[in-house]
Amino acid sequence: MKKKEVKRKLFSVLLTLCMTAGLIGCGQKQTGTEQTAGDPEPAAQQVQESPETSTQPEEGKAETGERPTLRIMAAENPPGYDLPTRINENDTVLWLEDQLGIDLEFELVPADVMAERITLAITSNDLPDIFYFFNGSVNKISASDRVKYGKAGLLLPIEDMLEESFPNLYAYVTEEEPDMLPKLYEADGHIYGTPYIQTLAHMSHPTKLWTNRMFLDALEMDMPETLDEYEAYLKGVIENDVNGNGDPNDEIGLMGIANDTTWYKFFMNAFVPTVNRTFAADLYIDNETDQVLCAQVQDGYREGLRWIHSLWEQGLVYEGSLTLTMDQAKTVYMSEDPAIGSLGFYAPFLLDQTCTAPTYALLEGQVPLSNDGQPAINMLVGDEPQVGRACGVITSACKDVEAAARFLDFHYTREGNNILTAGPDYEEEYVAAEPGELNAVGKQAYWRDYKVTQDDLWTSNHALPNFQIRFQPEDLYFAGVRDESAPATVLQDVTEILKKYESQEYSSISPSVSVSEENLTAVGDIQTQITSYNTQWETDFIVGNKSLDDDWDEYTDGLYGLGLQTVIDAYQEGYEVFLSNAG
Amino acid sequence: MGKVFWRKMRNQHFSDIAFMAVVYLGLTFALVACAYPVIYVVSASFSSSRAVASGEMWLFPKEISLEGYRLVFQNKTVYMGFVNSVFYVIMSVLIQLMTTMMAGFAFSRRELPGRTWFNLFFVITMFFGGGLIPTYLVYLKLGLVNTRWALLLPGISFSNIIIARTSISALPEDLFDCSKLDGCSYIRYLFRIVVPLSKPILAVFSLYTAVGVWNSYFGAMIYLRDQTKYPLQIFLRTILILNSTIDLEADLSSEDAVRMMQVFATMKYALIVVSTAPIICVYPFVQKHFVKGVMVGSLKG
Repeated sequence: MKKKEVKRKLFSVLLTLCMTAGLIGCGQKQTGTEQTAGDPEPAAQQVQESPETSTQPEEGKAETGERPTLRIMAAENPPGYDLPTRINENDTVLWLEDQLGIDLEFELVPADVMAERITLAITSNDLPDIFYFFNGSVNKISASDRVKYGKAGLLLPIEDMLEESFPNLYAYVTEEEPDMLPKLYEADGHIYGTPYIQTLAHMSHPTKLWTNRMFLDALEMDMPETLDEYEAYLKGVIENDVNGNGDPNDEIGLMGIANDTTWYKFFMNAFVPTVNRTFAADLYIDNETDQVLCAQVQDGYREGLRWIHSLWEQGLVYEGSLTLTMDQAKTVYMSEDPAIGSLGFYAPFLLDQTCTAPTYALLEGQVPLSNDGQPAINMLVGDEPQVGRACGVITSACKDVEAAARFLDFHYTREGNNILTAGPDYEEEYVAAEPGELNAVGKQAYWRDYKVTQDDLWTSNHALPNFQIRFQPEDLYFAGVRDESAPATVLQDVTEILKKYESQEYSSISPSVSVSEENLTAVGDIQTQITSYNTQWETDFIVGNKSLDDDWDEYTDGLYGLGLQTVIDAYQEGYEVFLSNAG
Repeated sequence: MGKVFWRKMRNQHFSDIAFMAVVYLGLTFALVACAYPVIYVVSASFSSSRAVASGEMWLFPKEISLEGYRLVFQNKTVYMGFVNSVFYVIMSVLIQLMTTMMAGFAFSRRELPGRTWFNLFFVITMFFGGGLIPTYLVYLKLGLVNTRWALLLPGISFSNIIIARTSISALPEDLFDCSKLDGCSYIRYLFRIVVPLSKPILAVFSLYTAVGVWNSYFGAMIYLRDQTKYPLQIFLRTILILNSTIDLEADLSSEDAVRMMQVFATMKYALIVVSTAPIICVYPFVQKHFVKGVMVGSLKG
């Protein structure tokens, strides 16, 4: 018995030693120099691979021992379709591989976990060759992170190789849109990736409002162009049975939704340049002095809030405008079928075929309003065109930078965009437009009709619709012939209005200007606090819980107390860097 | 039966009746609170998206439509996700049961050398975790990233081992002594005697593991790159969550945006029903053992 006990004890000690040795043995597994963010030395070129993530060609592809392989971590879009599971057998991807002589290994990640996956890739030194984001909203490498990772050598700066390795992109940003090149630079003076581009007027003018043409006609009014005319219109909607259904109580003047301040900031532009769709500090650039200013501490903002409050007091604003979510607004539309005089948010459900409430067929884009004889203010989100920096990012793990550059540069031609969107045989997917047939913005259209729908493209695994890095000059976005018999879509309508309407233009601070790395954390924290602060104060001013005369000073003092001046100074500094890059 | 009920009530004290009334009221409220969302989802899955969006459908189906189910069943990713989820559940349950029973049995034996030390090592893992990044690094170095093992191995839980140990310790020691006298080894004793007597806790572990693995998605999102290995919950999640975060104005033309939203709104409820039904179907088979097994970890008189 004693011998058995001794044997058991020896066995357990041996087992413990084996476990310990195994743990130590696993920890000894090294694959060369390792680099994490923050280290000053450039990262190693070697990419750590696990057995299952080898870059050997998969089954179904030709053996291409000499072709470089690019591992691309991309944000998934559209969600829910089975394209992500078949991306590496996609017709367009296979065609691209043959044309470019590169093997493409896409790794699709749900957009909402992209941030975690990027962090894991960087901290574990398991970087892909390319980070690939189809637009700015899924680009989870923030401006400050790009600078930080760039300084650590994890991201490749491309400004020196732009002309030689990215000829298509270079030609576009220097010849066709020369104002665009300075927007590609980060705060440290480097370009860390190729951009997404949308030169669309409606994207540069985010604050939009729509007014019911049917009710204007019923009231025998023209489209309001001043605040007084607009107020008179809302009163007419509320006081009359404009939809003629015999119920005088189902009319709504102006309707908005919570957390989207568009519905009242649109009118602020009659007083002071205002653009933010949120409650954060609203910054703009003074045209004469190039100074960054905050709208919310200007007297014009107070007067604007006073006017909005007067609408609220008269019952001209729907009471749910400060509380409704988009889903709740949709329920109100579809269940109550209200008569809405003016819509203060972008509501795609109004294009739903099952929606029976007043649709965009009846809603017309509201022109910017003027006040007291002053020209209306047309607020721009940066000046055109829209650029999202670093959506195609080459990392230090990429062994063939030239191949990566060729792949990314392919995106920046109209032909390349058409192929990625509709497949290599895209010309057979569309019926070409005749000369003289115009698109929604009055230019020569490319297509008259599609032979296939977006659904077909997605489910047939033939192309990459809306998955590739956006390259959307206006003529590509509005490529189809405008159907005069169909109601104008909301985007076409706004584009026409904004282009023909004379007004004074101001630029907001975003997105071209970025704050330096040392200021970014502080600015982010302050903006978060200001957002919470304004959510309460602006709501209180609008509904009348606080007085615009007695409490205004307390409000502005509170903003400065939270650090508003720090935010303004940080953006002023960033704007000056932007101006110097622009030359 | 009504007469019996009223006769019983007449014999009860008023305070007892009042107490029972409050209990029944509370249970009814709990029943409604639990059952209504389930009924709503099932009804919505058989209703048109218009009726659901407008709020007309609130309890029973309106404008009966099978469009949602049609969209779900014609989507190949749903099948792939379903098969993957079933695989992960079956394998996780098997691995969980094997390791839990073997470890629980070993810990139940007083003669295990170093039992205290092993216990300490395992208990530490209950209180301290490495966090996401260190865990990912470990998986990467072990070559588990982008393999199915990344989802199968981490499910082993020491709290289950403790429950198994407690249950096995409750078996009479004489049973083991008699088996030993007849030449039974430890392994044979475990599989031929302990496991058959431990059906209640096996049922509990199986159900808890199956439900947990069936509903999990985070591990797959982090450790898997190949989407052909994704479980069904990832697909469900992208439909339900990402649908609301699509940047419609910037991303798509209005018609594309609406079409996509319509598809997702229509298939949303059908997909919830399809992904929940298998687990609901499993429960009746383990219920008999479940009630007994849940109380295993409690004190005995």
